[in-house]
Amino acid sequence: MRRHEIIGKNRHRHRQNFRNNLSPLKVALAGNPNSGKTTIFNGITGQRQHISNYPGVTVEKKSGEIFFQGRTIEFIDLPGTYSLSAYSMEEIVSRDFVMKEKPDVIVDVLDSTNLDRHLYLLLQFQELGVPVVGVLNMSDEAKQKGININRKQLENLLGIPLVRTVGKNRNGIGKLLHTIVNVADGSVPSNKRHINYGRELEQAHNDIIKVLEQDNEFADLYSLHWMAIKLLEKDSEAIQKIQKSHKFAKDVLDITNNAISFIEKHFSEESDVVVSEQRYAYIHGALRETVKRENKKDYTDFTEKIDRFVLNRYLGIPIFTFVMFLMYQLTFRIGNPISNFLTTTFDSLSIFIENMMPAGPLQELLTEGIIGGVGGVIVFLPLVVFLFLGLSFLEDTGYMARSAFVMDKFFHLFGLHGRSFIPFMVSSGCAVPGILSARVLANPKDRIVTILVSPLMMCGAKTPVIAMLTAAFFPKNAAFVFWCVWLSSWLIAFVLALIFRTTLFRGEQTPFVMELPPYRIPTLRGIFQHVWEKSWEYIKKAGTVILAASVIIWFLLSYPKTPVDNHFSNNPEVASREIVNSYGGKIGKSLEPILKLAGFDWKIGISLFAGTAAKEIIISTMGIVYGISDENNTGETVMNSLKSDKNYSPLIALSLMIFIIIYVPCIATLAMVKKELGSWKWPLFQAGYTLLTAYGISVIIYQVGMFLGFGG
Amino acid sequence: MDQKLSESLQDYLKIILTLINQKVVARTKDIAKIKKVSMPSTTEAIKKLSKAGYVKYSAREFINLTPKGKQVAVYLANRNIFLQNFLQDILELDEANASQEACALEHHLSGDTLERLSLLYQFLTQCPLQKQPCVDNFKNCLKKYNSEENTSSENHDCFIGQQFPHIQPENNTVHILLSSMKEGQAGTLLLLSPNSRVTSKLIKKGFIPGSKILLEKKGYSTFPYIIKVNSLSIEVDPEFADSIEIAIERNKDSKENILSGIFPLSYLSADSEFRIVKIKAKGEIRRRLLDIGFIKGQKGHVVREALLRDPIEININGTNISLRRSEAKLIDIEVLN
Repeated sequence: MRRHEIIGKNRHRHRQNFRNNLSPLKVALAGNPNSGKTTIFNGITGQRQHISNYPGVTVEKKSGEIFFQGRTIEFIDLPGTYSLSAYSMEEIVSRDFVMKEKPDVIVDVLDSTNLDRHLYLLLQFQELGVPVVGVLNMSDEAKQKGININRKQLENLLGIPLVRTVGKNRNGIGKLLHTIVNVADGSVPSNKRHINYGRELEQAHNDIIKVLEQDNEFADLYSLHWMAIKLLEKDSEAIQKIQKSHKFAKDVLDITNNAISFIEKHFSEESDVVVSEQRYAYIHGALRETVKRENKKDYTDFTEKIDRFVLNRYLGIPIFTFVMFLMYQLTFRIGNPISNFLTTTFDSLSIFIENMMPAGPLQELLTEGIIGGVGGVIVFLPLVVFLFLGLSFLEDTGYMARSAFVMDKFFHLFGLHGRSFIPFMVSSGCAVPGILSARVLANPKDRIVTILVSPLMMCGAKTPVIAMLTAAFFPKNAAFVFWCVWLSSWLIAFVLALIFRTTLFRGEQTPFVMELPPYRIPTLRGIFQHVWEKSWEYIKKAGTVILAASVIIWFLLSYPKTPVDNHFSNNPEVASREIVNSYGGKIGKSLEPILKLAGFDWKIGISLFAGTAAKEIIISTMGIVYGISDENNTGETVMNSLKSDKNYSPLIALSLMIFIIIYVPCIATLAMVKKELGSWKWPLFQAGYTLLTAYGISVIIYQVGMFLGFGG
Repeated sequence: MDQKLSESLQDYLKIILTLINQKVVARTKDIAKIKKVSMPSTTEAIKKLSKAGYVKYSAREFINLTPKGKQVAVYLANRNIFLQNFLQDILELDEANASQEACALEHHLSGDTLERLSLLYQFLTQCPLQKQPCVDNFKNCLKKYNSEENTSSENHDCFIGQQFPHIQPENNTVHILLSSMKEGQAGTLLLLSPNSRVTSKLIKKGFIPGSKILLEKKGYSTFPYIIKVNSLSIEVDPEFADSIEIAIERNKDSKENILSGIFPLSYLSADSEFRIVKIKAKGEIRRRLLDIGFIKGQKGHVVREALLRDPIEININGTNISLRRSEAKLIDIEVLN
């Protein structure tokens, strides 16, 4: 009966609205982590998505626009949260968005197989006084598990319209859109508070509202139900808001304190606990009447069967290591050949242009600066694509949360989180995707520290440099020395992480408490969407910075031009003279007195400077500085000329290797850090601290070595 | 053997022995000087000792000890030295205090007590089972305890021997905090909050480690806990409830309820079922736990532990949640089955 009315009304309204040229709707999509919110969001918006950050924080903001029933609806994906308290970044972002932007409708995605915990968030949105629609997602899974939800009855009890969906095959999306429009138009009421916290709390709540109401301006701005409950929960943000903007702040807080002490005395329990308990009690009450469970063999059995193996006390770490090994192989074994192919393509492109265009500064800028720079961006793309293929697979199946469980104890010793292993591991292939992968860390402090130290890993670009140096100076036990350097890279990274965690990023550890979601088979669609988003984002955001930085470094190493009579660019002497006379060369040379303390001369100085563009360049720059022409064989020839140079000793080589491991991450990495942490402050700090640490350690190695007589 | 001698006469005997050792002879004048008493009362005392057969003495002669007297005097002197050593070496009192307190103590200790104290001294300095004498460990702990800035849990772990342990089957007792005790529950006081100032404050209130303790009434916010320590009632503010550690005996007989009482969740090992009693965590962890469904009365079970028994996975209401033991410590539970 009621349904008919709604449709009838709506049809009428619809026609009318169409004529009146409807205002666009703003809809926020919310939900607990693991509720399938992203799948619903993708299902609604498809490819029409826009990714940005919430102002001032690094929390990602996804939005998408669709055209439905003649009006534009903008969907904003809020971060997944369990509640709307004021602790985590995600919660504050969601809360602020709802209060400040006042979306027309909030859609809360619920896991039908786990309703009680998911309704907890839904009820808080209702209290905020914004129209809410609940999405009973994964309704197919619930059915399989034998959970029968009486949707209509629950809808009536909560006073919130509910829509059944199956996110993975887009079932129910159309129905959801209809409901959203109806709720926005007001034809379905949905923002009336229905929850009952029990006699004592309701009394306290009403008392507080009476005082809150006395300030009309305040009452217009905020939902008073929400404020009253948050005050009873001793929520710090709510208290601040009252102190700042309520006319009778003192009265409000006095009444609140009285109410709290009454409640605490009555329940012998702190008031925030009482509020949570009563909210859950209300939910359990509502579910008892509307949800029937049949005994069926269910999904958890399947999850538990896998976990018994995967999270086994002794097998857990070997399995995790194996999974990481597979992901590493996927990223670098498949990604690297494609990268190499792209590099050669770009090389031939620049040769093509060289042949087509007259020689000159413009040609050089194009071939070496721009094509070189773009090449530098594209080279990483296959790695980013395959990395995210792996990561989103692990995330979507539910294994990612488990990896933290397995690895946490060890990383926690160094003040890090179990998930920090992933960025470390990926960085030992390449730091650019490594820093991207630090997104698996939800806590900003963990993430920043991990990002700051993970570029110290011996990446694919540092490996040939170190390999060459060990082969040249430690021919007898090259492998052992190489291994030592590799080990010290991990060691230094961990020690630095611990130092950061105990100095710059001190303070209370954020809780580790997290859900281990049931294993799910990921949808191809979801994974590809994710990979596509991340790769595109990489090209757009990091790409531009990498390109600009590459051009700058290229400029520094090729200008000012050394006047050459006849242009034989292949003449090694000329090339050597060119780089020595460039700005970069001058910088390298002028630093010699400082570098001398670590045992380095100006030739190494120039190479190290060039190495900030990309670490593998260190070898080729050395080649140029030494005036070696044979480009195809630089590694070995450089090795030989280093070996025969009397000025170098194994001690200098050791000092140099440690320096290369630690010092300034390459430009691409720094650009990535800027992009990920949102400000230049972090990459600059990172460049500074790594440079100082590298210099300090190298000087100590060299000076102590000299003192002990290893200098010869 | 020396029970019949009064404190004062014991002192005279010791002085005579010292004088004979130093100057070969003991004169009444010297004795009076050392003991800071008058000549006549010294003479009186010497006469008494002579009568009891400890000294040989007649007027205007040097005083000498009988064989029996010498034996007693040597014992008394060594007893004093032993006590002084004990106070200085083990309890780390300074010399002046040690000598003063040794003199006060010695007269009140029975031979049995002394014998056992000397065995304890022996045990602590030799420590048959460990490479390093235990007294050194104790001294290290004491140093930590006395350093002002130390408020870390090191202090606690040093004395109690291990971090707040979870239940091990071979252990007969379990350590819990006062805040986790049930009304009517009894145990042995271990005390030792990480903060030594709090500890010494509590000791001065009468919470002496090793005392029998019984929780009469739980406190909250401004209402104090009411506790019987050695059957004497003491009130204590709830702020101290997490600083008082108590050893509770495990209920061995009844199979169904291995653990009676309330424990932190961190005590449990895999496959144990529990019911949540209270969330003691503060701040963000508290909020997160409440939001995720850790509320009073909720049942759950520990599913598994990671390699080093940390973190743990628990199942609550059909959801699997992983948390560190340090977080689990902040959740009070009752053990089921």
